Amino acid sequence: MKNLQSIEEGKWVELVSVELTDAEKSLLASKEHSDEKLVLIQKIQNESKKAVSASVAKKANTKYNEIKPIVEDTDVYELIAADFIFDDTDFVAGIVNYRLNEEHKQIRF
Amino acid sequence: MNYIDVKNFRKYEQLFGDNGPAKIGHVNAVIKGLNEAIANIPTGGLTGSNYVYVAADGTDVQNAAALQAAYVTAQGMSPSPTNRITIVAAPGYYNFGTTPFVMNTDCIDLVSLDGNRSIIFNAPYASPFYSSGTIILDFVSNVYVRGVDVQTKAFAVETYYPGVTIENCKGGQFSFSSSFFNMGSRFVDCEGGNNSFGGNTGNSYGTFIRCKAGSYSFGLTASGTFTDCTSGGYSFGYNGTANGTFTNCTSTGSLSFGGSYSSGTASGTFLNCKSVDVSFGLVASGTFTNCTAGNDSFGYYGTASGTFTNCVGSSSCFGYYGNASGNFYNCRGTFAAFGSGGTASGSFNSCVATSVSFGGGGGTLTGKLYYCRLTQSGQNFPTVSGGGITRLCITGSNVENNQG
Repeated sequence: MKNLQSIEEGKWVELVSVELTDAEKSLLASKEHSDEKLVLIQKIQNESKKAVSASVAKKANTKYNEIKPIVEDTDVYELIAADFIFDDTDFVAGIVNYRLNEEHKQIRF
Repeated sequence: MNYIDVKNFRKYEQLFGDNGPAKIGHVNAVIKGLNEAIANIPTGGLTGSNYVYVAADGTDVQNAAALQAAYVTAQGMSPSPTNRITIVAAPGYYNFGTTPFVMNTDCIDLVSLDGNRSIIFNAPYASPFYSSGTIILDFVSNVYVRGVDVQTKAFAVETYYPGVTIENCKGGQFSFSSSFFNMGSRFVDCEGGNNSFGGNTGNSYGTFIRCKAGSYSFGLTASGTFTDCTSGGYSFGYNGTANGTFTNCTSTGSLSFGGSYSSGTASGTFLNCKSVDVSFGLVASGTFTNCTAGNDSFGYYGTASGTFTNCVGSSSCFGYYGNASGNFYNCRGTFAAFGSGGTASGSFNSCVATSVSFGGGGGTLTGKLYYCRLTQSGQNFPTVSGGGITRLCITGSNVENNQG
């Protein structure tokens, strides 16, 4: 199973868990602000997003475009996040969070 | 056996007259008839065209055997969507020892006679905890279960189909969950221990109504519909994604609703939800209304890019050291809130903090502040930049602040 996510139309990443050391956990949980903490958070955020193959991205885009709402020229559409579960052959489930004319809506499959 | 029509006392009255002894005679006749009916119930219970009854009138081990036999009987009754078979089990203890009660056939339902959690699987907790003496819903897609309590054992739901409904059931840790299955089913009034309802590994994309769990519950990805649910900490997408619909949900511990120090996202809709510290996303891009959290919440070191209405945090909230780029209406923080050390680039309307906020903790204020206030004495808004404005804002010295 892969957890695919898009927060910008056409671009997909796979979300993966990042194992942390005890020292990293302590740093993250510390109440003090530090640049070291900022760097670590950035590193974790980068590592938690893995590139997906072009073929998987194409499938995800196809699925997204299938379920995406019809948007009129006068509408303002904002994708918040599309999260799809992919089992290496097909999409098991998914949800698209978006705002249409500032109203938050969801599409599930 | 003679049938007595309980409602038709008049018939009895015509025979014996309207007097006290006649009424008592009628009642006695009814009781006698019922006793005969009960005495004639076959051992193991009643069976109708679409139900099998388990009387639970033996020892706990015998009751378990009777339930298992009832299930086999039901399997032989050609269950289908147009021919559902319901096993009605009487209140009692059912001891399956170290073997599980496996429900692996669609369209066979199991319900308690009284609707309560009175089908009690009382085998002691044993290893392996996910199968010993408990119930397993094994990859079924169309089943209804109501009123089963497996005590501290795991109520094993190894299926994800939305056609499965589990109501008023209870288990221990790792209930309504499996590390191998996502939770797409419907759960109503169910209760589990830690790591339940998808735990912190699966995707909980089903429907959850009035469910309760311990910590690490309701999914690594919480994309379902959650209404009136309660959990311990590390729940509803801890360190993952909370992108579902959350209404009146509460986490009594920290790090929930996409909460994380490092990589959580809260992109769903959240109405009247409560948590404590480090909650509602490192990236808070969803819509949050009347939500409450503790310190380090609503974007913390990341991004608060969503829509926030009547939300309350504590210190280091609303994009603390990240970017508060969303729309904030009537929200409250305390120390170092609203992009304090990062960027306050959003729209802030009637928002209140105590101090060092709105980019005032070494960050930048490029957003638009209307009617906002700092409450700690002597606190002031930072100088705006990049198109930022403040209008009718009040400093900690009760001085009106208008910039840009």
